[in-house]
Amino acid sequence: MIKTVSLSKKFNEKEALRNLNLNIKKGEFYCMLGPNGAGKTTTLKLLSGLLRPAKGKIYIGGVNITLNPEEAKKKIGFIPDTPFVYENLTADEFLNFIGNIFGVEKKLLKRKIDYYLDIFGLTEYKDHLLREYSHGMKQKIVYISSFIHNPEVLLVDEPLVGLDPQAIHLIKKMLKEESKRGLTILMCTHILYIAEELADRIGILAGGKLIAEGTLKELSENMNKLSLEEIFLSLTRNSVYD
Amino acid sequence: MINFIRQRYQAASNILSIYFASHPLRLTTIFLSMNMAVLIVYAAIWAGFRFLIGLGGMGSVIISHLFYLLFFIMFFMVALSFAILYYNLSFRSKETKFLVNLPIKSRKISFLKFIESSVLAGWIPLAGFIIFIAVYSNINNLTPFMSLFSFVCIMPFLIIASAIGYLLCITILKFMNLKKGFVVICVLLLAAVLFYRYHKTSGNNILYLLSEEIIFFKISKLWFLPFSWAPWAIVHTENGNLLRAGVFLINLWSLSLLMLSLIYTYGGKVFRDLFFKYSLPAHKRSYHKNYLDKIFFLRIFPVKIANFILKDIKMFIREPVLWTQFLIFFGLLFFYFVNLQKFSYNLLSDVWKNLITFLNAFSVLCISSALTIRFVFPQWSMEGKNYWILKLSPVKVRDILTAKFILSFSALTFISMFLILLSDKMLGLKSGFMLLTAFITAVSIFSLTSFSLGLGAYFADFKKEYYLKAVESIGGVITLIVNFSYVVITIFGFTFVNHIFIIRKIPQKDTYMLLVLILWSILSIGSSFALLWIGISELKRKEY
Ligand SMILES: Nc1ncnc2c1ncn2[C@@H]1O[C@H](COP(=O)(O)OP(=O)(O)O)[C@@H](O)[C@H]1O
Ligand SMILES: [Mg+2]
Repeated sequence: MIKTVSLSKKFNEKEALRNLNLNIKKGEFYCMLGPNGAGKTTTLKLLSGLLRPAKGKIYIGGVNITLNPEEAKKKIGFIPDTPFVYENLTADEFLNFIGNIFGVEKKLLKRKIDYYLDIFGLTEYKDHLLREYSHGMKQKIVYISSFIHNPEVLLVDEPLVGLDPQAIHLIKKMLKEESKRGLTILMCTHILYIAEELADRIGILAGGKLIAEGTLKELSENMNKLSLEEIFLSLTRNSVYD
Repeated sequence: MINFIRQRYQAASNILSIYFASHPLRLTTIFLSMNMAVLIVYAAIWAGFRFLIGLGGMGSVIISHLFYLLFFIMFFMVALSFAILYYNLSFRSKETKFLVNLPIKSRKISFLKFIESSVLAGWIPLAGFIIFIAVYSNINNLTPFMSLFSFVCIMPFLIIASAIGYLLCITILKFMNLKKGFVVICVLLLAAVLFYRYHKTSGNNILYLLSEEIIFFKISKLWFLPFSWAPWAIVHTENGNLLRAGVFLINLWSLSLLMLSLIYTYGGKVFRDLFFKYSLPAHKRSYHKNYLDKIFFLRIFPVKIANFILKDIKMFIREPVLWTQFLIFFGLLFFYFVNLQKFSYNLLSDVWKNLITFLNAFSVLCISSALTIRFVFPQWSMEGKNYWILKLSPVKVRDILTAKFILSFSALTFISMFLILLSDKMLGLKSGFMLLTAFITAVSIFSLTSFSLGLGAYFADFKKEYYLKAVESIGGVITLIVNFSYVVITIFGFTFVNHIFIIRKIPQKDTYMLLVLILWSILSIGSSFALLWIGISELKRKEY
């Protein structure tokens, strides 16, 4: 579902990503771990078409995103690490706007918006401007906005920043369920326990390179180590200080 | 204070060096086109002067009036844009919140914001003024001393204008809110218009237009009001009346220093009060079942496009900072129509009729071009950090541009058609002339909107927190110059062609005019599409 071929990205001579080869199957829950500055956000922005690759190819559901961006973008839901939204729209208006962009049918859209607002506990605020929302509430709105058009691929960057425990629980549950139902998820984080809990497969990114990949079991067998934390620390130690 | 300036300087030089490292070519192009633009403006002003001088005695009267009027208008423009900028930089920006948390005296923050806003509000008028003075002293063979002297006068002039803007801003914020302030100022302007209507004057010929009777000329020369001090000082020096010039100069500097010290001393407390009142969104208001969703106008477009138009309309209406800028526009209109209604067009000779007709179109287009700069150009920068939403959407950039274009173009066409037809009517123009000016206006609005949207897309910076600064940025200035040059070239061209037709008494005047019109329209629309295309392709390349 998500496939990259020797994907690279430079920011003014600085290589943020080097020769990344990913191949994530349909319905797979893939977690990408890495220290700050490893290139996680860069990867997600490349996959969603926010950045242009310096080299390499990206296929989303078989569609090359550089050649056919509109087609590929229909399949993508993206949740950035900071929820920037139109502060002068109400939640309801914002979600309708997004739904219309993706061409969701009107009645279905209304049902979905009401449903998701309800389970995130935002129904009572739906006619308030988003500028009055807190960080966590905006994050919830971004989650809803990426769910309403039924994406085939969900890209999540630092998923749980600023959310309350109920929301974290809810989102973990939702992501798990959706992934079982066939949604392909690529999640980037530096919080290890989430990966342990949710991921089918884990990749470790450091200094713009993918240095290890596999299921939790494979990783720990390869490294003769038990916990993910120890694997992560020993693998990324060099890259942090180089 | 030094610390802040150093920080600003460091930020600017960092950005410039990064930019230069990554796009050396583009920076050079921008630099060159800025220089080109300065030359164009210089040439335009120069041609204008030559033309007026060519008219003989009347021309020089107009020039002397214009000189005062220029300062008068500049004063209010600077004051108003200062008020808007100060409000934003002080009470709406994240930086202020950060500064308030630091152990810095609030009077220092307030003063810093004062300086910052006045630099932002004043630098374009200042640059324009420097060019103007350069032309003025070139044509009148003035010494370099004069240019220097004018510069010494303009500095305190801008400070006083900013201080008036400051007073305006804090009065509105302190005693009303933005909406009420807006309404009050509009009502005041309207009242002034009505008052002036009943202030009857006689005089029905062209000399009336040039006489001291026109109330704006009178006001702009009142010696006891600060906006006239700078032009008085300059005019007195020019005439060798150094003592008087000195008095005005001392007035200017002492008032500006007094105001600066007052703002420095008392600004802190005012700033603190207003900061706590305005920086946190306190009002909770719900927008259930918005009437905007039902606008009929939107039904004619496909959902895909109507969706974006609706969003932009809502964003505009709910952002007071945007629509309070309409005040500048109302101010301009006020100046204009008040003078127009006293005017007797039909008694004029053909040459003057021609001049006045196009001068009127010129004013309307200038107002429209000011509007496009203020409202159309920032359409893209306005998306700001939210641009990821558009960039992720499976919609072609072209469609989003179309939506923005439709909204801006129809709003502007509505306003400017209204203006041109009303002013033509007030002048009593023949229907042929009315049709001509209306057509020119429509095509020009098309071009001005395209230029602003295209260049706005080209220069949009989606990393900026505060998008209204876009107007005062390099891109904004380039667009200003492009739009203004377009208006000047268009109007000068048509006036000139028609002028020649009238003087030479060419028989097939209408046929030739039609030819010129078609040629001009093709050029305008061609260059519009070219700039839009440049904007779109740059936008496609832009990363988030
Ligand atoms: N717009 C940019 N300009 C320059 N460098 C950038 C930009 N975005 C990211 N980088 C650099 O790329 C590297 C990877 O960043 P990022 O992908 O954001 O890391 P993270 O894994 O923490 O999300 C960092 O070293 C960062 O400095
Ligand atoms: Mg990141």
